[in-house]
Amino acid sequence: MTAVLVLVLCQAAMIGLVAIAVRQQYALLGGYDLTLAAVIAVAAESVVYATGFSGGAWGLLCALLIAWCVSTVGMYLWNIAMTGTAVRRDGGLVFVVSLGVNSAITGLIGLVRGPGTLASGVLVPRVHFAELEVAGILVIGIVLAAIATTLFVLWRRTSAGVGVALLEQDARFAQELGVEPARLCLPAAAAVGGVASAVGVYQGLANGASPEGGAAIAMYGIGAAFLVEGRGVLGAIIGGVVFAVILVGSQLFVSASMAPSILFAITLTLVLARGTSRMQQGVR
Amino acid sequence: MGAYLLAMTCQAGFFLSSGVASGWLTKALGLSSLAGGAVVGTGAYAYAIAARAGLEPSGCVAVAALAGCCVGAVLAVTRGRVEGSDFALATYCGQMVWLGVVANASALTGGALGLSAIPGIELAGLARSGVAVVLLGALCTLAALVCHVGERGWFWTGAAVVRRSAELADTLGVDRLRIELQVGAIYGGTLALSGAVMASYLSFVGVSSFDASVSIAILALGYLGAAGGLGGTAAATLLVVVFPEFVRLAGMSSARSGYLRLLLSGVVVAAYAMWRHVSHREMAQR
Repeated sequence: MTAVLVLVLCQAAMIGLVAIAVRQQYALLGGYDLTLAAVIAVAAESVVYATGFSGGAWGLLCALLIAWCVSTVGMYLWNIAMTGTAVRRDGGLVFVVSLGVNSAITGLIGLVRGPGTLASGVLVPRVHFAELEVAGILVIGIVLAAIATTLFVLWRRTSAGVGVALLEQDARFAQELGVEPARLCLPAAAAVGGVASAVGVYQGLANGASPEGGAAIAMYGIGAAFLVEGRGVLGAIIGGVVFAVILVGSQLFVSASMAPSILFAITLTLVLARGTSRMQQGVR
Repeated sequence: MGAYLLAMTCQAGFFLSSGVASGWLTKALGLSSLAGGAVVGTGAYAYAIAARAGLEPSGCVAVAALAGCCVGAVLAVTRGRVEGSDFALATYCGQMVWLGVVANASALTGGALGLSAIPGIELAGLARSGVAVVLLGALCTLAALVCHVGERGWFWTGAAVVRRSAELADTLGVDRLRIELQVGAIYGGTLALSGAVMASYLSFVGVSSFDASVSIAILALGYLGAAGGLGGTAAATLLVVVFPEFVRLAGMSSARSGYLRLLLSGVVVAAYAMWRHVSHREMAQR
């Protein structure tokens, strides 16, 4: 039972982290950003290759740094491209464009390194804590998520973080106050890159790296971000906890292969229930 | 070599007809559906299940078309609740739910192993590949013709009004639901028929043949079809479907060829979405 709780906690942390990143990108670009999936996949690939050279703590640290740098550069280029071309906040094209970019990156990864899952060279021993014995990788995941969330919350207190928070709450008012999304691209990319690379590193260590590896968790993150709206980081984490409980519950009591479909069905229900057409929003 | 070319022609025909229908949906209602793989798969599975149950091939094709029309109509009507990228997001989720349900409904769909030994459609003593080429060619022509005729007269004017604004359609007395149902039924029916023909040709259907990458490829073909008509879809089919298959002749594995298709599809989808955005802005400025 305790092992299940630790697993739920770890999954909640990962989905919550992605939900945080999804909300941040939504605030900056005005749409759901699927390039996070590509960033997670690239981070997972980085960690698998980096730990292939050195599997110890230093190897892990180097892998984390490489993943963060790659994620930050990727997200920065993407944010610049989106804010520069004014796709941002116009017709909700961000999701479709990011889907295309994610597909292209997934295809490129698959083309270069071939299909299948590559396992990392790190063997994490089981951890004994008081009377508990849990998989070490779950502990690493929880610790990574805690560090990433803490750093993200601290970053939200900086001027750039407050700017993004203002954009999240009221984009027009934020721009009246002089918050320019284009100026926030680099700090926001570093913050989101850090969060996404933490998820990617955990994915790479726990499940290995595959070209399509980031898509599912990115979609869970979008669902979790939908679930509790307007409560900042806390709302994203609550959404992550709910999704993790459903995911692990479905894997245990329904079927492991059916669990992702259940989460996608919940996300679909949330999207339909919210309703975004002009008729549904009552715009006259 | 001849058999390989024939197989590639079938695949190109399958994607071409699906792309024409996807382009029709994009052009008529401005929708980007990411459930193309699920709709094609619904047609293929409907045909396979009906054929294995002993139904005549013509009946099986009718069942597949009906199933596809229903799914397409439901998708188009969903537009009343979600639009733009939320429609794409909803259809992507729908695609993933469909995959999970089909993979787990083993009693009906064969689960992950799929259904094999599906009776094929017989036509004038032709081999299966010949029948598939003829039927897919006929389907492409028919779909292009229906879209061409549909883009004339009151129907297209009504669709343009619905695409512009549902409230405007209601104000002008345009039957929004009927137009959405018709567009969706044509989209779903064409996709399902192409799936049924492929199921008949391959005598096998498996859930992995209708995954999200197929949906993205169909969307890419549809986007270029919406921009450049049948010629655009044909050019996109050559680029996204035929080129990766030809590269296999140079020794590339089928898995890598699939990734090349995904890469090209992704580039087309992203480039078209950006281009459409820019052209709409320019049009609005004028």
